[in-house]
Parts: sequence; structure tokens; C-alpha cells
Amino acid sequence: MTLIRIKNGTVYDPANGRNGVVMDLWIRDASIVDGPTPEELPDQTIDASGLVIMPGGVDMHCHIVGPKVNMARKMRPEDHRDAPPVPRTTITRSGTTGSVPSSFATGYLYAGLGYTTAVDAAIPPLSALHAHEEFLDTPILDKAFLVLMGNNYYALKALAEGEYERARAFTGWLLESSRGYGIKVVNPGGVEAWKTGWDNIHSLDEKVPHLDCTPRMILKGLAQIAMDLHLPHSVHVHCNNLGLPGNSATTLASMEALEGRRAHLTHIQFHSYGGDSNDQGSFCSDVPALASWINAHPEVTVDVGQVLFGPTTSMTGDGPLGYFLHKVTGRKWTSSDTELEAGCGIVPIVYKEKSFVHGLQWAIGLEWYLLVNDPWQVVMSTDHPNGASFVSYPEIIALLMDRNYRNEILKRVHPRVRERCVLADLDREYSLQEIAIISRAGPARILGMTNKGHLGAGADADITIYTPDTDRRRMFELPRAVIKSGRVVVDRGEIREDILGRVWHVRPGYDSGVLPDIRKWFDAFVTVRFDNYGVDKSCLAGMGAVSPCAPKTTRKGSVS
Amino acid sequence: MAIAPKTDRTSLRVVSDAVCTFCGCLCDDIQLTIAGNQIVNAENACELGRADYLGYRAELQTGAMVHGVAVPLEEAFAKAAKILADARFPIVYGLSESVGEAQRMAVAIADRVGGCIDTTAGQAFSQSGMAFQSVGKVACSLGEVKNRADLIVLWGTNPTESHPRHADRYSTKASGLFTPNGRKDRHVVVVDICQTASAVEADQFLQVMPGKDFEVLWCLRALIKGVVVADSIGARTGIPLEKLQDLANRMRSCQFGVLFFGSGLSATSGGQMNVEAATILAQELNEFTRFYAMPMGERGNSNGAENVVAWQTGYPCAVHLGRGYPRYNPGEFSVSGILERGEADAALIISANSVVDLPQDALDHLAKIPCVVLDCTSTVALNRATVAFFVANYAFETSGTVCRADDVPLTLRPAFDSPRLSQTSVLRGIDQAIRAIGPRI
Ligand code: SF4
Ligand SMILES: [Zn+2]
Repeated sequence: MTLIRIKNGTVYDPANGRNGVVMDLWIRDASIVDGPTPEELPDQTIDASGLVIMPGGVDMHCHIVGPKVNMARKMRPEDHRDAPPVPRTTITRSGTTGSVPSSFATGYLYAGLGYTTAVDAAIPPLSALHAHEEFLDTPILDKAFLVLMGNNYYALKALAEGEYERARAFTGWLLESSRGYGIKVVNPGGVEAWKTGWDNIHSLDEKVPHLDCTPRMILKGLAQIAMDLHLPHSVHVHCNNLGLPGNSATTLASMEALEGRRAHLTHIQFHSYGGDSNDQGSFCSDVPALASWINAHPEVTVDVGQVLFGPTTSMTGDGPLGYFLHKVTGRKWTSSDTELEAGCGIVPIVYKEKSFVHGLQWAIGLEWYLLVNDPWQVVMSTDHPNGASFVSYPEIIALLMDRNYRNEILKRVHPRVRERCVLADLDREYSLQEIAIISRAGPARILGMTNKGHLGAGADADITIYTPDTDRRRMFELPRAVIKSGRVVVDRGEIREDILGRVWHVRPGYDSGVLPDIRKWFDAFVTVRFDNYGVDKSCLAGMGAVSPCAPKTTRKGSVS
Repeated sequence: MAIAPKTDRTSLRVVSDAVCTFCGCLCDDIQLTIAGNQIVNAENACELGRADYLGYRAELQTGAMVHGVAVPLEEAFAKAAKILADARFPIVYGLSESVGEAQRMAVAIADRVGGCIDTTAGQAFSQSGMAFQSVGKVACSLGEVKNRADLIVLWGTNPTESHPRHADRYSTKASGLFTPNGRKDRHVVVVDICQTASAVEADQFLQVMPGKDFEVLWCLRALIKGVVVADSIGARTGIPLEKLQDLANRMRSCQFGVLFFGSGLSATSGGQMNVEAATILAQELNEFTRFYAMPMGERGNSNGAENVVAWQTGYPCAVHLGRGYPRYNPGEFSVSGILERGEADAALIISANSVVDLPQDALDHLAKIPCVVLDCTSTVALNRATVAFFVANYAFETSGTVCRADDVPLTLRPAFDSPRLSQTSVLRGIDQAIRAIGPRI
């Protein structure tokens, strides 16, 4: 048993109402504990006088493992070659960076930024095994992934046939067999329509070809299933019509379609565009209307999907979107569809400061942070690597905390951007406490990870210590120290210990009466045997951890 | 007098849903019947797969040897570690007859000793992989083909003989969601330089003159866009214009088309250009319909090897870690080139099969340098190795992950326990011994 005392830090722990409180924190092994009796002496004391302490960062939506990410690595050697490598040390492995870093580099880079948990947002369950193997080579971070379901033919068919119970049991089985964490919906119905030869699906009540099923039914059905299975995280939605001018109408309709159900809408920046879909010139921000809807609906949360200027790689489970981007950019394009489950598109992209569209996307993202009143409802993300790499998070923090800096950049972007959004009028500046909410406390709460994102007794001892600096970017780029599971893993940017984090997944249970029907489905239509599908417990190499599915109040983490 | 092994019914064991690794199909529905240490039946397997399974013989040799002399494992680990850690330019090669776990460990060793790692896919990759890096790809898992494809083009491949169950399980004859009548719901075209068994079974066979694939693919691109093509294309490529026009029309008007290419397209000279042309054709067809272009897939787990090397280093093959971080240059760092130029001074070879395709100059150099070899049978390379490890046969005696050509991961179901260590365990042993020697940065 090791007892560590972090002395005299200035603690920002919004979940426990601590806003810059100077206090001691105590760690016993891998957890935070209440201060011990005066007789008990710590094995180690870390003097954090004058330093800022926050829970470890939580990235609730990124793309870091699985076939899509790895195809991007394979397709883009130039992306790594042009970026600084990560050299091996006596304790760490080497790697490459760029918009899609190699697996070890991903873990070290996140840890170096003070992030200790990351959730991959789009894994086709047929590829779950690949994702889990890559997780084992992604160090330090605790991880989880969301399972792509919004175009899963079996689920859509059950919903179309009004067999809600069957859809729910199937979902429970799918999450258990893939050892996934939650339900992801990407362009509901649109990917299946694309595979059938259509260009896409454009509105919530358009029927998916061959199925008596609409995006509305998919959204409602899967949102309800997430609630009925008591999943820790709500349904996680990438709406229809991503990236198209005028798509804010679809986004608003999707919000309404939820009819009060809990949901998380992801990379909302890409879904907040006004104007006419046939006229790029009419492109404008519709954030004020959408944000005021969010302000009136506490059951719905968003992450932003911030765009930052520079080269990156677009990668999505939205097959038709990949094609659209390929047509727009004219760059190389990878598409890869997973049988009856999902799609995938990968395209290199450069966001340019002088481009009207890119400048507006940048501004629209910032508007989201500034127009949602309650920071617990909005999460910082770049949809890594889609809007930018996660290594840009300190830049976003600087933009949010300093309106002068923000306005300086706003002056540099295409002049028409200012006319098409309200960013110039927004004076709001984020406080450190609000930054702590949008980067750790909020996402942890939204994910339902009760032992993450806070520093109360019982929480995982995942902690970031920063040196205060008026240059916020510098402050957040180089934490003074990062503690993961009670071990000091990063000290002034150096990896001190290379440990492997846990893989969080759910076991919601399901009515096993559904199994013969799923087996029949596999025998007829899937090229992998039912008994060879899914992930064996041994594939988690002892790193698995189950996030319980129970009504919120009784939830407590356990380890398998 | 030899005593025949007892094969009475009571001693029979059954392994269901085993994965056959003999060809790129990776059929995962094989039901093995096992008597003692022999596989006596492999239900559902094709002739190739059956022969592979039934030909399995348990190897008697276990353990490790240094210079041909049996030594305790720990001693062999230490010796192997010293060879690799002392080398100035060690190479790690093989990996296509390995499961994911062993591949991950092999890259770790290459990283730790600052070596160069390449997969046997390295050579094939240099063609279709380079094409992928220049234009991307349009691919899908094979179940999409099974459930949706109404046009299948087989180009430079003869699956009837090389991938016997491809047709039934995934492609031309498979029945699926939108193709309930299997073969009847599809049009099948074969493009090849001679009439193969697959060509005989196709609806249409287009015989292309050797080396003219690129021109034909480029012509199809033009026709699909409505560009006028001169009649002389027939004389130049062997395929008359009206047949190409007909194929172009079918490609544009199908619901879901797929072009499967084999080594006849990708492993010839100009293979990279050919694959690029096929890919661009498929990409452009997506303006009208869904269309895909994908490789048939090879025997073994080379695709898995590429994936592991890519996620750990960022690059799929030919990765040099000598400067302390991954550098990629398929021309410079392919293992065959490094050996031919006599640059490597030690080698870790994982399954000796991987060296048989190397050029003679490379093999000659390999014979001069200390080699650590892992293999499951007593091969020449193994017997000549400085340090030799007799390991379990990955296809029959280990579990672990293999990856289909369409990136679908599958878990092997071993027919037998092996008295020998798995590749993964041996590599882990070597890795630990290297660590014990101390840092090399
Ligand atoms: S088709 Fe290939 S994988 Fe399938 S059984 Fe035959 S040899 Fe084995
Ligand atoms: Zn995303």
C-alpha cells in the first residue's frame, strides 16, 4: 500500500464544488482517499504549492484505434514523415506523430497533455478484436470504445418491424460480445442508403431503402435502448447531413425527435450550418438557435468537434461523407464498408485560415463553447483527428480563456466570416473551473464514468498538475506532472513510467431468447460464424473493467 | 514393429468453427475431427484446406539449440538477446505465419534493438500498398459482396483454384440479403491473360494481352466518363472495344460492383500502376453506383502483420528503427534490399518459410550472419541458425488473432496443445533477455 500526499495544491474539482481551493489530496494506491489519521505518514509527498490541480483529462470522442484509424496510418506515410517522431527511451517505445500518431505515441502524447482517459467513438463491432488489440498497445490511458449501430441492419430491421424488445436485446448482446462501452449512431440510415446505391439520406422521415425505417425511428429507438439498458452513457449521435450548408434544420429536427430522451450529440460544430445546401456562398452559423435549444434541454449534451487551422486527416464512419470530402478536396480517398454494420471514409484535409468555409467552421466551434450557458452540457473536442489533432486542446483553451487572443485570430480569417456568425460579439471568457468542466468533469459525467473526472474520495487517482501561467496555451501544453492510477507517469513532459491503463466496457445483460434469431441471421448473412464473433475476455489481457449498468444513483465502478 | 495409433471413436475430439489459414479466404467454419495427434477430418474445408489439415504431423523436436546443440531455453534466450543487442544493424523478418500477439512482440524487439523490421508482405506490399498510399482504396468486408454485389469482376485471379471457397462463401455463388439466388443474381466477368478455371465459370471472359491491364483499366475509365475511345484498343490489348464498352456499361449500371484483383494484376511489373488504375476506376464509379476494388488476399497473416507494424510504428512495412524512432522507406529498408547490399549483421527470422522468396544474394548474406530463427518444423534455415527455437505451429497449435484481407480479425482455434512454446512466448523470452542486458538508446 502506497500513500501519497499532494500538498497545498490549488484544486479545481468542479464535481465536488472545489473552485480553486488550496488543499491537500491523498492517494492510496490507485485511488483518491480522504485524509488519513494524523498518525499515518505518507510514503511520498508532492509539494504542489502554487500549482493548479485538476482531475486527469477525459476525451469522450476521438478516433485512436481500429481499422479506420490504422488504414489512415497506412495510407498516409507523409503525415508521419513530416511530423516530429517520438524516440524510444529506456522505458518507452518509439513512435510517429502527425494527425494519426502510432499507438504508443498516442498514449504518451495524451498523457503528456494531462489526459488520462480517451474514448474511441466509432468501432464496427465486427472489428472489436482489432480495436482491443490496439488498445493493449496504447499505453497509460484508460480507454473505451463506442459501437457503431446507426446503420446496423439487424437493429434497423428490428426497429422497422416494431420489435423494440428484440432490438434492445440485440444491443445488449452486441455491447457484451464486442466489449464496447456505448451506442454510437453515425448518419442514421444514411450509410445503409449509401451502400444500397443512394447518395445519402437527407431528412429524418426519409425511409431507408428496403426498410420501413427512418432516421427518426433509429434515433428514438437507440436513445430509448440506451436508457432502458441503463447504460452509463446515453446514445451518442452523429446527425444526418454532416458538413452541408443548411444542416442545422436537420440537427434541430434530430434534437426534437429525441422527445426528451437523454442523448449526446457529437461534433456539433459540423452540424450547425445555416444557408442553402446548394449554395456554399450562403453558408452561415446557426449556433445561436441550436445552442438556445440546448440551453432549454438539460437532458441533451454536445461535444464541439472544433476545427483548427492546419493539415489533418478526416476519418468518419459516415461513408457518403467520405465520398463528399473526396469530391471537395480532390485528395486520395479510402472507403471501407463493414458488412451490414457500418461504413468508413478517410480523406486528408487542410483547414486554411484564409478559406471562408474553414474560417467559419472555426468560428462556429467557438460559438458553441460560448453560447451554451451550462458548461456541463458542452465538451471540448476536436473529433480527433477530424477537426484537428487532440494535441491542439491547449490552443482551444487559450481561445476560450482569452477573448483578445480570439479576436486577434478572428481578424486574420476570411473577412466574410465575421458577417456570418456572432463570434465577434461574444465577450465570454472561460475560467479555469469551466475549463476543468469541459475537459474532464463534464465528459466523465456524460460518459457515466463515476470514478473519473473528479478528485473526491473513491475516484481513480488520475490527476494533472499545472504550473499557472497567463499564457494558457503554454500552461496546458506542458503540465508539471501527470498522475495516472496513483503513479507519476509524466514529470515536466517526460514519461516517467510506462503503464497500461484499463479498458472500460459494459455488461448490460439481455434476454437470451434473442440468441437463436441472431444466430440464424449470422448463418444467412454474415461471413463470420456466430461463435467466432465478438471478443473473448482473454483478449483484454486482464485490463478489462466493467462500468456497471444501473440507475445512476447506485452506480459504482468495479473491476473484472 | 510400428504400432498404429488407436483411432477408436471414443478418443475422437471435435473442434468446431476452426479457422483455415491455407488461403486468403480464412474460412472460419471448419469442423475438425481429431484422433490422437492427427486430424482425421476437416468438414467444410475445400480440398486444399483438407489436405493441409490432414497433412498435419506432430513435430517431435522441442526446445532450442545454439549452434545445433540443444540448450535450456533460458540459455537460448540469453544468446539470442546478445546477438540482437550487440548487432549494429539487426533485422527482424517474417511475421506472416504469426498471430497478432507474436507480431506485436516482434516489433517491440525491433524497436528495442534499433533494428529494421519488415514483413513478408513487404514485397507484395511494395506494389498494392504503394498504390494505396498514392490514391487510397475503396474496399468492403466480404459480407458486403455476399449480400449486395450484382457485378463481380475477377482480374488476374483464379479463385476457383487458388481460393476454392471464395465463390460460395463471399462472392460469385454466395447468396445474401439482396442476392437471394446467389449466382443467378450476379453477372461475373473474368479478365485474365489466359482462360482459367474461373474464366470458364464466368458469364464473360475477356482475354487481355500480357502487360496490357493498365491500358484496359484506363480505357474503362474513359468509357465510363463517355469519352470516345479509338477502335485500335482491341488490337493493342486483345479486348475488342465493344466488349469494353459493354463492361463499362455494366459497371455504371450495376447496383453494387466489385473488382477483385489477384497477383496477375498486382504482382507483375507495373503492379502498382495497375492497382492504382483499378482503384481510381472504382472510385470514379462511385459517382454512379457503389463500386469496390480489392485484393483477393494471400495465404497466412501478412495483412495482420502490416496492421500491427502500422499501428505500432505508423508505417506498414520496411521500417527502420536504428535512429531510435521509426523511419520508412520501402526501397531502402526492405529486408531483401538490406540483405542483398550486405548491410545487416544479425537477423531474427520468424518462420523460415518467409525467407524462401528472398533473392539469392540476400540468402547468401543471411548465411554469413548470426541468425535467430523460430520455426515449427525442422527446416534448413532452422538447422543452420545460430540460435534455433522449435515453436508451436501457428495454424494448428496456437490461438491468437489473424486478419483477413478485408481487415476482419478472427481468432484461431487450435486443434492441439503443443509441447513447444508459442512464437509469442519465445519472443517474449528474448525481449526480456534483451531488457536484462540493459538499455540501448
Ligand atoms: S478456401 Fe482457403 S481458407 Fe477456405 S477451406 Fe479452402 S484453403 Fe482453407
Ligand atoms: Zn468522430
